[in-house]
Amino acid sequence: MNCREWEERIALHAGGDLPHGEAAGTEAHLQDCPSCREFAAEMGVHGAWMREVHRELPAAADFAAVRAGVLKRLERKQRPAAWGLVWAGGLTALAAMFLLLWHSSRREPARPAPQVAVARSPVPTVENPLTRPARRRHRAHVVRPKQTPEPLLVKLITDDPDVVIYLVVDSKGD
Amino acid sequence: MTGTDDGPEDRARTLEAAKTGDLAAFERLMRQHERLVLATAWRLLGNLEDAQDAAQEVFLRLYRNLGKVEASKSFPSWLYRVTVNVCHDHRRVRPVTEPIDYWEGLAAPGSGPQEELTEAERRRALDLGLQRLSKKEREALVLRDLEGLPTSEVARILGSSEATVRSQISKARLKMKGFVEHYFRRRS
Repeated sequence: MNCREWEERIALHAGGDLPHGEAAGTEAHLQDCPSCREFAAEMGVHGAWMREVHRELPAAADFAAVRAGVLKRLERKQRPAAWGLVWAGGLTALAAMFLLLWHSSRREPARPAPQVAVARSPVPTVENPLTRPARRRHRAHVVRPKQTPEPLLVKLITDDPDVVIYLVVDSKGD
Repeated sequence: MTGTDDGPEDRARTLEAAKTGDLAAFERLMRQHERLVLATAWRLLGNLEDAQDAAQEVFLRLYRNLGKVEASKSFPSWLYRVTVNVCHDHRRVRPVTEPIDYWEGLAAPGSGPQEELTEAERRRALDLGLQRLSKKEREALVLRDLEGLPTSEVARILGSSEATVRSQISKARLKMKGFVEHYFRRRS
C-alpha cells in the first residue's frame, strides 16, 4: 500500500473514526512514514480550522429574523381559522337567502279562495197605512205585516278590495 | 448544539407548553434550537438567506409535528433529520449555482489560512469547499465534523450504514483539505 492509499485511512484517523484494529495499523504506518505523518498533521489542522469557522455563528438579528418569520406565518395561519368561520357563516346565510328568493319567485302565488259571507238584509218594518187605531170599545185589531221570507244576500269578496259582489236571492230562488 | 443554555428539564417543559398551542413557549423552543437548525442549514445550503428560509420551514414542520415529538435525547436528531431533508428539498427547488469565478473578492494576500483572514473570507472558503462536495458527502461532513455528532448518529439521521458514512466522511475531508489549500495558495 503506497502513501496515496493511506490517505483515506489517515483522513478517518484524524477525526477518530477508524475502528480500533484499523487505527492501530494506521498509527504503525505513521510511525514509519514521515510524509504520511505530515499529511496527518495537516488533516488535524484542517479539521480544527473547519470547526473554528463553523463556530462563527450568524448574527443575533439573523436568528431573530427566522423566529419572527415563523411566528408571523403561524399567526397568519391561526387568524384565517377565525375569519374563515365568519366568512363561511356569512356565505351560508347569503346562499340560503338567495335560494329562498329564487324558490319563491318560481312558485305561482296562491290565490286566496273567495270568501263568501252570508249577510242578512235588515228586516223591513212596514207600516200598514190601512191600520187604524183601534177603538176603545172594540177589540183592537192589529194587522200585522205579512211575514215574507227574507231575501238572501250573498256577498262575494274578490281579490280586489274595491270590488265586492252582492247577490240578492229571493225566497223563490230567483 | 442549541441556541440557549436551558437545561433538559427546561427544554422538556418548554416543549410541553408549546404543545398546548402557546406561541410564546414555541418561540422559546425555537431559541433553544435555532443554532442547531440555522448553522446546519447554512453549511448545507452555502448561503445565509437560503438557510434562513430553510430554518423557517424546519420550525414550521416542528410546529405541525409537536404532537409527535418527545422531549428526549432523540429530539435533536429529529431536528437534524428534518433540517437535512428541508435543505435537500430547498436545493432541488433552487439549485445552488457555483460562482463562475469563486476566487473573486479575495482579500489582499496573507500568509496562510490561520492568519490575517477576515471572518467573512474564512466562511467563504468553507462554504465554497462544502458546495463542491456531493450531497451525501456534504451532509455527512457537516453533521460529523462541524456539528460533532458521532458517526452512528450521523448514519441514523442520513438513513445510511456507518460504513457508508465513514467512506463519505473520508472522501469529504480529503476534498475539503485539497480545496482549502488550493484556495489559500491562490490567495497568496
